[in-house]
Amino acid sequence: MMAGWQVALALGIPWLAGTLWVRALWRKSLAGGWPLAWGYGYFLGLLAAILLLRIQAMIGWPLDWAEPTLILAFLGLVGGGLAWRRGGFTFHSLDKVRGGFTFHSLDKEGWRVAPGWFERGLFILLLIWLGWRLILLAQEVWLRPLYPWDAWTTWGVRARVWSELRELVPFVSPEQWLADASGSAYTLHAWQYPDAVSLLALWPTLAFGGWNESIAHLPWLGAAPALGLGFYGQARLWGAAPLTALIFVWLLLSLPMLNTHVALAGYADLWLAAVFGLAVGALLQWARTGDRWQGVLALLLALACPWLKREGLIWALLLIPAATVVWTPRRYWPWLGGGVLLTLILWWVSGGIVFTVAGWGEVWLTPEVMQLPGLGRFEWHYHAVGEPVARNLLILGNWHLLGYLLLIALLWGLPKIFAEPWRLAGMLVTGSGLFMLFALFFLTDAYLWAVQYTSINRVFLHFAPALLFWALTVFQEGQKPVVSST
Amino acid sequence: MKLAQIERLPWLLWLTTLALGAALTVLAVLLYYRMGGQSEANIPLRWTGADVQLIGGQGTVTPAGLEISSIGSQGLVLWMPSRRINAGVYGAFAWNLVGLDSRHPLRLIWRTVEGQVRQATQAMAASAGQMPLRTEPEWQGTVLTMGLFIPGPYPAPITVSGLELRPARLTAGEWWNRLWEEWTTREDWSQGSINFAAGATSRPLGSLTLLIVIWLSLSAGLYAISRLSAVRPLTPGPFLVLFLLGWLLLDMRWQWELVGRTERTVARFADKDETERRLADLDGDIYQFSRDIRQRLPESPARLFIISNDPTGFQAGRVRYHLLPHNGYMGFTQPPDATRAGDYVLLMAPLPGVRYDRQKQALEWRDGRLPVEERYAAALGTLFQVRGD
Repeated sequence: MMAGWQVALALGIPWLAGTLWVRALWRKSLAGGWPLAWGYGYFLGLLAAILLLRIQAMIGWPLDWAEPTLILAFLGLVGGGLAWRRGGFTFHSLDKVRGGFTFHSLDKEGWRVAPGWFERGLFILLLIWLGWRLILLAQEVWLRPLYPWDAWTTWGVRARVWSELRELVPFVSPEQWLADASGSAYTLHAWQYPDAVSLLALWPTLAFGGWNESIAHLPWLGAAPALGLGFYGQARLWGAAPLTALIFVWLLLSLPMLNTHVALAGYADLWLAAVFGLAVGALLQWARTGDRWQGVLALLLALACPWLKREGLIWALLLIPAATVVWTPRRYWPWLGGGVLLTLILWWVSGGIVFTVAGWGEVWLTPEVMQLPGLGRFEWHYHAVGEPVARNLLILGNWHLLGYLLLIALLWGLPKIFAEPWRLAGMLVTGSGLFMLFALFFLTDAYLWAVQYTSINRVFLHFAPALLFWALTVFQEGQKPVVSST
Repeated sequence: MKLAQIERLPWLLWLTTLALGAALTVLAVLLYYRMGGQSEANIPLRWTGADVQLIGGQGTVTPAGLEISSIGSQGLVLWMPSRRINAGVYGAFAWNLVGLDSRHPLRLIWRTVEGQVRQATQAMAASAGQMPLRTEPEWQGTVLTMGLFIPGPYPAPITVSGLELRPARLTAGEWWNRLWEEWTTREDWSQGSINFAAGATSRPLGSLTLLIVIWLSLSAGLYAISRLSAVRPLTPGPFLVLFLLGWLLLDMRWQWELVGRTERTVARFADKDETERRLADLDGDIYQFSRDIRQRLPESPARLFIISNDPTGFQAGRVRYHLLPHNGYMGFTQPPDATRAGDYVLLMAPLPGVRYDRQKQALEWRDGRLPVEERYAAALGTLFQVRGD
């Protein structure tokens, strides 16, 4: 019983602290403000908790959940005080905002203006449907022992060792492990993978008092509703009506691949998808409104991406072009575009670049090879994998109709991309993400992941929340955030 | 009701075009399969000798096929490349093995997507021929890999010239039964689920996603044509509702799939403590073996070398995980040189390249020898401790 309460505190306090700090960023009570705060607060709070664990280990203190939790509790009080002073604890009511894709505006002829009860009823039904989904996933998370492959070969191995030894023992290469005379180092095939996901699994088990797979899986279960809340909040801030926002949340949380990564907890892909997706949401808000706090959220979450998975570094870098066009006055866009094109031509003609980054390694960016330390070496060869890629994204039951929605959004949004900076930014994030996927599966040996139906969907999952939010911005006209009327 | 009246009630027009779209989709699907469209059902799967993987023997790829010089007493297995196969679509298996005589009847084997190995009830006593599959009771569901078992010993060379899986000729009713079976089959979680959540099969006969897209596209097209022909404006609402309806239908199926999977999970693991759940899991035998091993290991973490013929495989990896926090690693097919006195070595069976000499108390393999003391032996493997001498 006591252990249960400790686990609840270990997960609840970072969540609450993160929420209050995010809420404190805005002086006014905005529609969607609290759901946004709860959503972003979950990820920021837990990341802060495991960062404190890391610092604790670096200092040489024994691994313990209580000290980081106390620090976060204190920070939460400070954040709560700030939130109170800046905006007060007001809650925007659900049905005050109109406009955009509400049923009121669908069609003036024949599709009569829907009464408020219809929208409310649909809203509640959707909530019930999503709640049922989460209950099913919760049972899987709680009952099923650690199941997916990489979880019991990599992410869960480190978490369990650290949990059982109460120490962040180092994981080294197999060669170093063989040579290690002390026997204190452990090894993994993927020993160089970032440790955030293992720390996320470790964190609640420290509070529990020992390794327990169900307890270790709880952060994955929380990630789903938190992602939904963050997405909902950003959608409402964008100007979407409550029902519209919830429909998009349903589209997101109903994705079979996302559900699978919650149910079969232990992989890193769900975390990267959620963190990257929320970073993109914040970036697009910043691009549209200039709200610096949205920029801060985007930056913090983008910085967390490489800590979750190695490819998170590349995904985070994809946000730079989008940020650049937002910073650049429109009259300089042709110069910017021309400069990029010229750089690419020079890069091609000169045979690419090779350089060494101190402490990281040699970087190759040539027309024949891309090599990034920690990520690997990729030789460029074209592989005709259109059929398996299309099959996985458009035909099999992995993504419902997401692929088709994105195609429609691309066609709908392309004519308007130069209308406003945020539209171009959104298209750049989307376009560069899709280009990276194309390059990975069509131009490198990773084509096997597509042919063998292995990582293709997991990599696409990283982009799914971001792409869905971008689709929302294409269809939903952005509006000035509505202040609470209370 | 006249068309003009329908047009004045857009919701009725919408419903009408929805129904028409569904009817057109069903018609299109029937015509597609009956006319032999490009599909899983009408393309035979063919493999040459160069495609197959040989287990239990050695072969050389030549222009004629895979040449196998001889077959040992234990026989050998030819595994075709992994490819998810909808068993109901294929009705016959054909083979051509030059040089094989009828005294060594082949047996067709296959591994299901759940990881179970099945075999045909009838053996094939000829070097070439075709055997029916639809009469095989275990030939159903989704097959992951197909193989051929050739019993030995056989001293003469044989050449694997070609293997083929031939589609079944199905009637319209049988097609419909296959489709319905595919749409209503619920799978349990598998090790592949984390990579794709395709539902009943990863190579569907009738992808529900694609069918719904076709249906919605036809309905949207019909609706748009009707509205435009009546000189009425098009608004996004009806199309949006169509799209959401399609998503909802797919999500309802997925929810039904999830309910089934959760029911299996609850039935298997509910009301059990952590140990009982692990024993009830898919590797319960490996977990029990690991528990027995753990009792022979010291309390504090010990260095443990897990040796197996498949170091990156499921069994070695699960044993390593279950024995944590013992400091184990399973990347070995034979004991490495870096073992020290006091370390533990776990040999996972079968491991024909390494043997234990009881008299000398040593593990021996082609390039080496390691003095050890046996600590525990079981069907899955044997635990040794490295001796100091």
